[in-house]
This record gives sequence, C-alpha cells and structure tokens, in this order.
Amino acid sequence: MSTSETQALLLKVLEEIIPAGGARRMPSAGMKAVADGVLTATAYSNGSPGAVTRLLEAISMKSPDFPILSPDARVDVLKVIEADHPADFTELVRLTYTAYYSRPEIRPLLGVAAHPVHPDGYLVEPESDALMDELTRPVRARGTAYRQV
Amino acid sequence: MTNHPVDVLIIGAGASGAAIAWSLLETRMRILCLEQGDHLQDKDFPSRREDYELARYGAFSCDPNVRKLKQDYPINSQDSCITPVNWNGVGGSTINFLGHWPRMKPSDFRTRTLDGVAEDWPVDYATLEPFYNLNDENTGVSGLSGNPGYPDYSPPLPPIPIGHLGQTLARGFNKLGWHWWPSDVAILSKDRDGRQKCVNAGTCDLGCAAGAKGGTNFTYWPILENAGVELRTNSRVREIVVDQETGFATGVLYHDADGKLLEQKAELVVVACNGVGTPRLLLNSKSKLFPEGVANRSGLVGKNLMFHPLTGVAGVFDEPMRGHEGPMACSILSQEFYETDPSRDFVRGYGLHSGRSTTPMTFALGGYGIDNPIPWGAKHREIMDNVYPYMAGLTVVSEDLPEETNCVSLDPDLTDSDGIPAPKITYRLGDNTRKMLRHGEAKAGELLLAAGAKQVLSKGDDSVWWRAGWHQMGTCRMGDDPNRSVVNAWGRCHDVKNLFIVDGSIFVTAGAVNPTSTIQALALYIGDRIKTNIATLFD
Repeated sequence: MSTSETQALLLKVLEEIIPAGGARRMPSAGMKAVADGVLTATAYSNGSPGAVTRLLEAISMKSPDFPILSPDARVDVLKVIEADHPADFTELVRLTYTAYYSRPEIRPLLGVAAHPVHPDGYLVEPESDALMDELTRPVRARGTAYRQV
Repeated sequence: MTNHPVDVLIIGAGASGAAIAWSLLETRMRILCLEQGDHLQDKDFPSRREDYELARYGAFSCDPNVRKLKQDYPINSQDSCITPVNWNGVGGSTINFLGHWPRMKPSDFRTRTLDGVAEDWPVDYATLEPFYNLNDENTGVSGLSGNPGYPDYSPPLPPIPIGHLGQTLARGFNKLGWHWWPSDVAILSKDRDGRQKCVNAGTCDLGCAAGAKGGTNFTYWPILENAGVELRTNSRVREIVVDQETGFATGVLYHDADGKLLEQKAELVVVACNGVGTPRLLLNSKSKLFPEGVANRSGLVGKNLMFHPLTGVAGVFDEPMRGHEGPMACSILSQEFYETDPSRDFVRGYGLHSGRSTTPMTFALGGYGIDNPIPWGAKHREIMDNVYPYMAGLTVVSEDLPEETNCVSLDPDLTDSDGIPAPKITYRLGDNTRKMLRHGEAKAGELLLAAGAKQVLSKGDDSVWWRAGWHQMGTCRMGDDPNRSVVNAWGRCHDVKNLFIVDGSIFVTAGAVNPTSTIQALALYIGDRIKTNIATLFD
C-alpha cells in the first residue's frame, strides 16, 4: 500500500474504533491528528512494534474495499481481524485511545479541562464545618471503631 | 577511588532515608546520602504539559519495567500476580505516590497475640504515636480530627475537600451505619512553608509540580541540603562492604553516573531502598562472612514479601461525579471491615478507599495501574458517554499476611545498567487475602447501591491489579529473635551492629493501609533510638 492508502485506511479503521456520536456529540477517532498520534504513541508503547502496519495489511487483504463499506460492515471485518490478531488489535486499540484522549479538544467534551492541570488545577470548594459536622455525626455517635489492645 | 569517610551513610533518598537523615541532623554527624536517581526539575513534571496523560505510559510510568530510565533497575515479576512499582530519584516513591496517609492501627502490631497469625511487632502503636505526630507536622498532613477509628490525634491542617463524590459516598456509609472518615493525606489544604496548597489537579501520580503533595523532595530534602547533608545523586550502591575480622560494615561500593566503581567508607550505614531494593542490595552483598548476603544469617532477607492486593468496584450515578477533580486516591476511607470478625471466613481485614476517578485516557485504557482497555466501537461510545462521567469507585485494600514463599530473590540473568543482579519477585495471593477481597467486593457493591448508584461494575473474578505493588513490606522484618527476624526493635541488623534498615522491608505485618506514614514514623523512631543509644550503639 502507498502511504496515502495506508493513511486513508487507518482513518476509516479509527472511525470504528471510537465512533462519533452520543449525547456529547463526540467526534470519532478518524481524524488526521489521531492517526498521526497513533504512530507517535508507538514510542510510548511496550507493545510489539509494527502492530498497526500488520493489521492494516491484514485488513486490506481481507477486505480490499474496506474504506467504502458501511460502518456496520467495517465493524464486522474488524471483529474478524481482532479474532485473528488479538495482540496486535489490542495494541491498536491502546494506541488509538492514547492518541485520541491526549487531544486537548477532546477532554472538555467529557468534562475535563483542556489545559495542563498545573498550575491552575480545578476549583473545589472545601466543605463547610457545618456540613462536615453533619456528615460525620453518625460515625462519631457510634463511638470507638478500633480494636483496643 | 575512595572518598572521605563519613559518620552516617544513608542509601536511598526516599521516604525513610530523608526522615532518618532529618532525625540525625542534630547529632552534627557528617551525613551522606547516596541516591541512584536524580532531582526532578520543575520543568520535568508532566502535569505542566498539555499531553500530561501520555507520561503515565512512558517516562513517568509507575512501573520501572515500562520507564526503563537509567536510574531504574528491572524487576522480574513473571512469577507474581502483582508487579512492584516505584520511583528512583530524590524523593523516591513519594514523587509519584498518591499521598494517602492513614496510620496503622494498634491491632496491626499485635496480630499473633490477637488473631494467631503472623508475628507481633517488637514496637507498638503507642511507641510510634509521637513519631507519627512529628512526621505529620514535618510533612504537612491534612485531615479531620476525631476519627473514632483511631486513638485520638489531630492532623496539623484541615481536611482537603472530599467533593461531591465523597459526600455522596459518605451518605451511603451513613445509611448503612458503617464507619468512614475523610482521608488523612500528605497533601496541603493550605499554603505552608513555601509550598502551594493543592489545586485539585488530580494527577498526583505524575508528581506534584505545586509541592502540595508531601514528597520528601519538597518536605525533608530542602531542609537537609540547607543544613549540610550531602546528597550524592546518580550514585548506585553495588554492595555493602563488611570487615571480615570485626563483622562491622565499613561502607559501600557504588557506581557513579559514569558507571565508575567507587568506595565510600562510613561509621554507620543505613539502608533505605524499599522492600524490594533493600533485600536486593543485602543479597548482592556476599562475602566469606555472609555467603548468603549480608545480615542474612536468619535466611529471612527477601522472605515474607507483602503487598496490598487491590481490587476496585465502581458505581454509576445519575449525576456527574467530577471525579477527576481533586487528589487521585484520597477522598474518604472506610475501616468498617478492618478488624478481625470471627463470623467471617478470613482473619484481619481491609479498607474501602474512595479514590476519585481518573482522566479519560487512563480510564479508557482500563484504569490506573491496569492494562485492560475498555471495549472499542459502539460499546466504547456508550461507556465514555454514560459511565465515565458518572462514576464513583471504591478500592478494596486488603491486608496481606506474611508467607516465606512470597519473596524477593536475585534473578540469575537480569541485571541493571551497571551489571548488578536484578530482583526477582515470587508472589502468590494467599487464600485469606482472596476471601477478603471477595468479601470487600461484595460490601463495596452494597455501599455503592446504598449511596444511590444505578449500576455497579465489578470484575467478579479473583484477579487483582497488576501494578499494585506500591507497598513493599516484610522482606527484612523486625523482631527480638535473631533466628526469626533480620533487624532488632530499632532497625539494627542482628548480624551487623552498625548496619540499620529503616524502610518498609522491616514491617512485620502489612496492615491494610498505605504504609508511608508508618515507614517515616519508624525511621524517625529509629533515628531517636540511635541518638538515645549513641554511647553503646554497637554493643
């Protein structure tokens, strides 16, 4: 496969690994940045090198028209590939999740800030003394809760 | 090449090495610490980078076999269901620990007397209590006083927020009438000593760039270095050298950053390399006098390895739990099932720790310390949309009982980059622990439902978290009998009277709590004993 064919096939595979949709209107993983990230994230992986390339070749052999199949048909192909190449497929899934969720634009869609967590972090108000007193009152009322020795 | 001799040589700049150095400061002895890693520079904390989550799977993994940094040594865990995790550098594993700070309980020190299992410690809670308090002050511990689960004490700082997630679970515990309490944490709820209070970043495992977490790189080491303690980094100790005539330790051989082998002489040697690194070093220190490794006449160096096997149960609630906000491991802790109950089919007990959830990538990859990605495809979409934001979990942290077959030995083939034999872990889950985890899983599910969860997610099998080997204990245990222990009641090796061990390896039992608070209290206690006994230290 040429580089552009490989890239096109990878994008279609990624679209099914993390599909778009849901109430949060999440994008699929089938975006160039994620595809690039999958390859970059290989450096962070202890998995077997070449897993993605091997899988793409296997998909291409199994289903030459994979990119133009319906989403359901693509998922069926991928399930067969997963059964035939479980270790490589798990590696692809790991790399996809790694690349997708490291995108700063994805995190806010799940309620997590896009920014690096330091120095800003998150504002969490401390409980008031009154609330803490109310919550712990039943525990304190039961008395000593450790074994005397 | 030989360096100038020192009075006290400490091996390891982590939790215990730093604490005992602080304790010995007032003696005015010349103190040197050899540390195989380096200082972590401010710019190197991943939490300051946009792609901070990626670091967990590379150079900032808790697993040295993943990190593979120059200062790391490999660990063969093929014969274990749990792999040890750590950090090698100034601060040791307090760099990437989660800062959960519960104390051991009085019964933890008396399991033989109370429950007929393991051994009693040669020290007790009351003896250690002042050192717990002192260490809490030095570290800056936050918590709520009045916990009925312990003899009375007061953490120096108010508790960190337990958050919506903690409040929700607390109400569930109250509904069932079970014990819970806001977690004691080595995390600042207020600015203190130039350290910034916690900003609830939720990435404690990636090092705390703010210094809110009480890693010894932020607590003890700045004081120690200012006071003149020499910290020699990138210095990996190869073996402890013993005078074959007198039987005393004379110092160590160590490799510098270039791998060159050097000698360092010392009057007193203190080992603080954790429950895996310490037995590894002792076993690697063979001589005619100690053919099975230094201080190992009992044959117990490396034996009785204990972890805290973990399993997790999660509840899915109707509203977002915002579990990524706040320190990772520390919200509330229940010790309802901590003590032995004869009506159960196991002895001792466990804690239910309410950690918070984690960031999306880590969750999708199976959770912290787990390599088991969640499903792909439509199921993935459903889980990330409908489970992840609404989740609150409980971790079952079980007490491990000592078994001699669970051990650290030397791998015959594997070595670190200086050619020093690496440790091999042999560990299986005991039947008592297995029963305890099953009980804990069921109770955690019951609690989550009481707290309002609409769905409970648990594994329902006997597997434990693979990267759960944070707490490495028991491999050079304390005791009064030289045939049944490696060190005496104040950390001095029975066989080598100027060799001390101060880390988690000297634990006799494991309790069911994170051990760092106890490790440091013990190190301060041992330092105190050394000062008290200074005139007759080597008798």
